[in-house]
Amino acid sequence: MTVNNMTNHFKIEFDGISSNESFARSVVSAFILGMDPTLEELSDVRTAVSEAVTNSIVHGYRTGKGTVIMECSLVSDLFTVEITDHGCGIENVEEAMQPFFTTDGGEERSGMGFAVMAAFMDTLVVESEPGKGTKVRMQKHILGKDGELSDAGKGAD
Amino acid sequence: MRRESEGHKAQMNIKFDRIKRILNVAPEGEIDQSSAKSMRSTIDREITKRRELRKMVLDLKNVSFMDSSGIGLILGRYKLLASLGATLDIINASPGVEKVIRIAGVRALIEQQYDGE
Repeated sequence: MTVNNMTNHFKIEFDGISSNESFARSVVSAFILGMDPTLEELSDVRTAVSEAVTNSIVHGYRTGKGTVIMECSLVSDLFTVEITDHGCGIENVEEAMQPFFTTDGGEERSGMGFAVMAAFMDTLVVESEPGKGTKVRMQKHILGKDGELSDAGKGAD
Repeated sequence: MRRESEGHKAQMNIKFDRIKRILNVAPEGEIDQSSAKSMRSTIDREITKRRELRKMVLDLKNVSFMDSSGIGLILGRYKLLASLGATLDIINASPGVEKVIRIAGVRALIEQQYDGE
C-alpha cells in the first residue's frame, strides 16, 4: 500500500452555473488522483460529484442565483465529499431519493441522480431544509490499484 | 427558460452518418446536464429530418464521461424513435458510461426492443 496515513483536505466555493459541473468534476479528479485510484473508482467519484453539483444548480438554484460549496477530505483511504448549496431545499428528501423521481417534467431529467450517487459511493447522506438549502455528504474507500491487485491475487499465489 | 442565459452553454461536437435507414450518432466529449440540452435538439433535428428511419445507433466511443443527464437524453430519444417506429442501439460505451446506462435499466430496455423479432 502506498496511500497509508495520507490526510488531505480542501474547500472551494463556486457559482451555481451549469459550466461549473465539469469544473467540479475536474477538481475532484485532481484531488483523488494522488491516491492512485482505479479507473472505476475515479469514474464513480466524478459521476457522483457531477450528480450532486447538478442537483444544486438545476434544483437548488432553479429560481435564483447562488454558490455551491464543495469540501473534500482524505483520511487514509477514505474519501469524503460534501456538496452544499443555499438554494430552495428539498421538501421531502425520502421521496426525492426514489429512482426516477423528478420535479422537472419538461426537461427530460431522468430522476436518477440520487440513485447514481448511492450506487457509486459507499455512503450517501442528504440533509435539506426547504428555503435554506441542501447538503449532500458522500464517502468512498479508495483502495486504488494496489487494492485491485490484492483482490485479484486472492488465492492465486 | 431562465437557465438559457446562465453561463455559457456547452456545445458538443456530434458526428452524424446516415446509411440508408440507419442513423449513426457519435457525440464527442462529456455528457452532463450542461451539454445534454443542446445535444437533444441537434439529435432530434437529425432524427426528424427524413422519414422512414429504422434505427438510430448511438456510438459512445468518444464520450469520456456521462452522468444521469445522459439517461434522460437517451430515454427521450428512445421514446421519440419508438413513436416513429424506429429502434435505438447504444454501442462502444466505456465501462464508466456503461455503468450509468445499466443502473437506470436502459440497457435492459434497449435489449427488449428486439425480443419480439
